[in-house]
Amino acid sequence: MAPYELGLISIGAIVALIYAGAYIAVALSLVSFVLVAMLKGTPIAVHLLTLAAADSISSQTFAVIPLFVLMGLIMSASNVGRDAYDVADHFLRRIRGGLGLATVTSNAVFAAVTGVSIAAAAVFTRVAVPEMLRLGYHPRFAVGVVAGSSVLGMLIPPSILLIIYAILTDQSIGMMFYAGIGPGILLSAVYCAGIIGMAFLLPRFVYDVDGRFADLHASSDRPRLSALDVIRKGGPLILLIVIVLGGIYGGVFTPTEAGAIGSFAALIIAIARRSLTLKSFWNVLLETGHITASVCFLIIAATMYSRALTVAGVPFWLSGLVSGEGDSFLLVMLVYIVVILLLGTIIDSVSIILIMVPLFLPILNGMGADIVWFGIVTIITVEIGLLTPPLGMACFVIKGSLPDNRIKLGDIFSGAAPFALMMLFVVALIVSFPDLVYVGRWFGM
Amino acid sequence: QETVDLTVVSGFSPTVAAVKMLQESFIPTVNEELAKTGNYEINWQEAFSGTLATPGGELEAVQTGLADVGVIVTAIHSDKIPLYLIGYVTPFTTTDMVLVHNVVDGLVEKYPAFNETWDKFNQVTLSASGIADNYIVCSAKPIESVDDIDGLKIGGIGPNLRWVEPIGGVGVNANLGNFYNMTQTGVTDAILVWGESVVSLKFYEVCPYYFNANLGGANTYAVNVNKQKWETLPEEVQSALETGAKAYSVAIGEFAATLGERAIETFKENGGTVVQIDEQERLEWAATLPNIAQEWADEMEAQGIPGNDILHDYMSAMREADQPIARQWDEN
Amino acid sequence: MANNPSTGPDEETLPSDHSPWIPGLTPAVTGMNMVGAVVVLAMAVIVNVDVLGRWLFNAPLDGAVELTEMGIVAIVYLQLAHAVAVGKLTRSEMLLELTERRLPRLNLALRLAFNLMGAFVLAVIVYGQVPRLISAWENGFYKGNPGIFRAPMWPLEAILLIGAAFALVQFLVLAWRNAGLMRDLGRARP
Ligand code: NA
Ligand code: NA
Repeated sequence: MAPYELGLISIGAIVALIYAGAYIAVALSLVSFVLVAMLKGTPIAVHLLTLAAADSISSQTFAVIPLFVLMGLIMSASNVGRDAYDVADHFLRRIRGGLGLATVTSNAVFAAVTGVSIAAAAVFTRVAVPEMLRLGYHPRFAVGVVAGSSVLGMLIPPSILLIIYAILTDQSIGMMFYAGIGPGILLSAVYCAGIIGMAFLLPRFVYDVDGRFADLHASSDRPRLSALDVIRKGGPLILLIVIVLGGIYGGVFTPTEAGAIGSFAALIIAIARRSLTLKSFWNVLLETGHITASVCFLIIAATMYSRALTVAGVPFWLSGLVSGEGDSFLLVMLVYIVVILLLGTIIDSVSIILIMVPLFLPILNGMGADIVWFGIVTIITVEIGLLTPPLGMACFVIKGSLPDNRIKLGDIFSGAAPFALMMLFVVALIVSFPDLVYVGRWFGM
Repeated sequence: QETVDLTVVSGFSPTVAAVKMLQESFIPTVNEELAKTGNYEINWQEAFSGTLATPGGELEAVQTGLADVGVIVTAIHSDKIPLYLIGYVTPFTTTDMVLVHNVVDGLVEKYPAFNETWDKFNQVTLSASGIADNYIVCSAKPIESVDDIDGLKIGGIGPNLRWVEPIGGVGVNANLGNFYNMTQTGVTDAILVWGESVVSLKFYEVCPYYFNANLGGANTYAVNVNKQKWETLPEEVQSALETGAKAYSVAIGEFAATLGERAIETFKENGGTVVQIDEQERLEWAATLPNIAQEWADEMEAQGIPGNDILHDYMSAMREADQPIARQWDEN
Repeated sequence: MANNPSTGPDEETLPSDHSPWIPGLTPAVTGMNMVGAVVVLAMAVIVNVDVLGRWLFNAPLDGAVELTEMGIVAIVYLQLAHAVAVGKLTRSEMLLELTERRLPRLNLALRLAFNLMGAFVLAVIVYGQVPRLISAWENGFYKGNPGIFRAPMWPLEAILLIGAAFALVQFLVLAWRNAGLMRDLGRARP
């Protein structure tokens, strides 16, 4: 049997183990171990695991995770996020599915200060989900909206994935950031349209018609906000955005350092508003560590597995499928997108980019494709993997941050499914109309 | 015909010259060598761009046998293979990368300490090579003379940060992967890079002032093979790999020189300003540095390695080749 | 959130993949968890000092990059054992929930198998990490550069080893508990 065939079988083994209920990180690392042991012997399999355990997250790319999560949790603990959400809700609640729109909009704004999606997922699970449940939305929809809109964090700059792609393909980071803006707005708009559509056409999906969470519903209407309230509640978030974006574009710090500065700024705002006690700050630190540890352990295990696939020659075999001379551009893109979607079910975003982009870049380059456009297509497609089972990082973070145990991982995946489909729709739009990537061209610039 | 499987590892992607030249020189040369007799064929497995190891992780990947062949960036392992830092402790000496490669390979042959360095990491080295033919200062702020460097935040790979500290530069640790971004965002005002990288990685977009300080080049890479793997390879394959590694070193040196020459031109075409350092200033700058070469030699001697002799041989070879030496590092 | 370690929850009421309070082990794991939280804070402080120092005084903090890259690894292994102990490691619970009532024996057998798998994987990591720690200690490996900033690697390698070892023990404790519950089940319905 060819090594790549063993590699393909291993994918099935992982999926089976995960659905049977194995710890996902354990399933990934165990299968990596067995695969490499069969191909290269036990000692090398031991080294593969140990080396990945030590080096796969020891870089600036991952060092920012706790810092952005910390910023998000401070904002959540000090009600900065919730207040901003109230403001968005104030303007949108009369629309059907309005709270869904509020979640998408505030996530789009939050995306401008965070570089990793999981921070947005953690924050809005705390902020938006209880509010939506309270007002009679279906729990599946509530977590689905949060999962779906958390991906905006990686698309709207700053974004770790855009930085990784730019470095890998020798593009300007500024250009990649610029190219993320238009598609970020487009995806937000498609989400909003989709939410309104679902609220009218599939009310059972959007609202808790069966009363499964009736104990959480509150019939009383919330008080209207005065203009002053809007400023008071929305101001801190705006200030934070000004500090972070101003710092990045004013050359004071890098997007990767923004999380730490944002945490500091959020802490000062929280102290100024007297909304954070020493004890709740300590809990925020503990929880930041928890989220970081469980997410990073998954990333470590996914790295082990992506390296095991490399050892088995699976990526090489994959690129052999499409490097034929006569392949049409659209066919190559189709294969590329399908492969990323499949890998996205079990590998983390960064690993997929590291595996796939170098394989396909020369092919796409040879066909004269726009590398910036290619990057945006890649990133949105990779981000769909955050929402798809069995390994969907955004859904895991939401599960980890949910106070209510009645919402299951399966609820989150099924709630996120419509949003994954909408992302796929946006990918199709961008493949069909490449100019959509450049927001300036929308206005003929 | 027998087929040999070899996995080649680098944490960098083919946009970086060291990997590009693996694909364009090393692998084809080895294949050609073997095709001469047709006894063996290599089934190459390319594991670049971090698919098997991170940048810097290649050393351990080759050590443990996870990969068979790897390009090790010696400059980022000051703790593990300090002996190979010889180029970084002798700045202002040479700008001829092919010469550096030949001289260092000569030292490796003469002094067993070089090969013994790799023993500890369970690998054999085929050839030492480099890419940084001539370090320059690429700056976002105008630099007319060395005085202008005072107070600038300067990004460098690590060992070379010591070059700029005595003249008031503030060292910031960075690498090829984040130089562009850090300079664009102002975290660094300037970077220590070389002509080829300025062109390949488009640094002229973020730092339009090219201060050609002739800081010189240094050996940066070593092409290594896992020891157990090496011992199982037939002699014919071993010698083909050695030939390939030598060709790689020459190719990378020539690539650096060719693109380096074009760098100034490309720089000007893109609206940049090029300033040549005044020779007197260059001598003064070199004289301001602490004797980092001597510090290095002493540290080697403490480990039982003849650091002073190695340093002396290196500098003698450079003198014989008439290089623009600004400071005789082996004479206090 | 976290249970009070001094009293500990009643073992009978624990979900079957939740570690009971164990003298020695539980306080150690809880302590590591707290150190992890302190490392989070330290990382945020380091980056802020670096950025503000660079911006205001032209004096970046030497080693900020190296320290944060080490910090992230430390956080993961300091908190891993705690995550295992409280059942926070991510998994899909669909099948486990389906079988909980109807097929309790299969359910416990699955949980036992998964906990043993976790112990095995961590045992592999521990086994491979021992020589790495020894090598880092004996050779004095460090991150950084001579003459600028150096941080020894061995403390981090030790954290990785200790963290993985505690997580391994926690998996074994969970497996032991699964086995115990299976035995009780056998007694109740022979
Ligand atoms: Na963002
Ligand atoms: Na997925």
